[in-house]
Amino acid sequence: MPVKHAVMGLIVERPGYGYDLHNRLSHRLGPRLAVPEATVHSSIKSLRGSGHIEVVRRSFRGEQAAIWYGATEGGRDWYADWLDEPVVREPVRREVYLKFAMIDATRVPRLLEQFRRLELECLAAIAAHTRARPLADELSDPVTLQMAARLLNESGALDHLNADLMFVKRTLGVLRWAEAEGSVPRDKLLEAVS
Amino acid sequence: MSALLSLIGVTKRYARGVREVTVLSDVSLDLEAGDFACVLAGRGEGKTTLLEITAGYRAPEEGRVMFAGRDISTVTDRVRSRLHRSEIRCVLNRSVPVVHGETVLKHVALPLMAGGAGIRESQRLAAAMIERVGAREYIDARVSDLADSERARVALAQACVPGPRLLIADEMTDTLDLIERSSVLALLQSFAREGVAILITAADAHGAVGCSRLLTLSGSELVEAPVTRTEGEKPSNDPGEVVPFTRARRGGGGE
Repeated sequence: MPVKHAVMGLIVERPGYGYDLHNRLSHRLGPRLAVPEATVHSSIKSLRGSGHIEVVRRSFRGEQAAIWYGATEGGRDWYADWLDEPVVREPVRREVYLKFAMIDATRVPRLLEQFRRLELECLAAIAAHTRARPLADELSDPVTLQMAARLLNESGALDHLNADLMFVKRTLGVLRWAEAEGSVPRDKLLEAVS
Repeated sequence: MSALLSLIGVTKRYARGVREVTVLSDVSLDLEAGDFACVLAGRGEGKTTLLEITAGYRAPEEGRVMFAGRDISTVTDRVRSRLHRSEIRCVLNRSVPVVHGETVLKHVALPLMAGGAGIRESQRLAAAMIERVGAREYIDARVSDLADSERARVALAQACVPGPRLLIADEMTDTLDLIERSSVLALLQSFAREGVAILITAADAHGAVGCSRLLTLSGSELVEAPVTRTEGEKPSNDPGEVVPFTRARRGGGGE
């Protein structure tokens, strides 16, 4: 996810400082897609280095200093260009499919091990999403465009993770048969892909 | 804190044709009061069997199911029925209630009356629970006339009206739309916050939203993803630490 562009967008909306920008980004993305504060700070550093943002003021609360950043003309243009760029769909052909396509009998145990690990990783990623409170009772009617975007993004991310988990689980089922029997019964394969 | 529910080394096998299939293999799980756990798995992976064994409807070939310190896989039918009327409540037949009262109100009041409460008191408590689950609008409707989403709420009301300590629900939200599903899950979450231990299954990750613990069945073993991360601590696609649950029970580092 190009976090740097999203941080730039927030600064184009209005100036902000690190902590403020992290809060605003978390609100826009929702807890399930939230990024660490450190990522926001590194984005600020990068945007400043490329001249897209500049320091517009400093404020103090006690001894804590906050550096406020505003967008430069070049930064506004760069952000506008990014918004206008067509969104590219990520390819379906991923590394995991290629590895599976190259399978032979000798590699089944190693692949089983890798897919077991993938299954746990998918589960952990889903857990990070599902842990957040359900949103239905937080929704106003009509829903704001920003909240609609957040809900759709979260739902899409969960669909993606769910599809990954189900693919890995089905593949594991087939690999377990291959390991135990040396082949895969047709009905088991059809059950897995149906 | 000792667990309210413990599955200890549960194994279940079925004969399928000439083959014997192990559906659950050495499954262990501890559930405490207030836990909201979801087993996320596809068709035929054994999640319904797991719930039926947990509820005491089926006996495992090996292992024990302990509820509040008692092995419920060996208790008499009478004791099990008593547990199911009050402490362990189940929605195992998806959102379709097994026994229909004439109206939603009478239906939700059934378990209270079966437990010996009077009609007036049962209906008063049932009405309050119906209100809580958002089913007030159709309190006088026939259960058989309800839509899936309405039935899910009514089933939840009937399950929770006796004040159970453990609630078990099988794919309860799988047929609901996003908003209805989210709303029912929020209700389950609120019961968990009051101390009810909840164990549900889902065929889809959307059916696990709001749960505090996420598990899956993998080749007959139960595995759990830890959910200890705080918001924003790591990117959401970072898997973090993961533990095979059959090898390391909650809080433990192995056998």
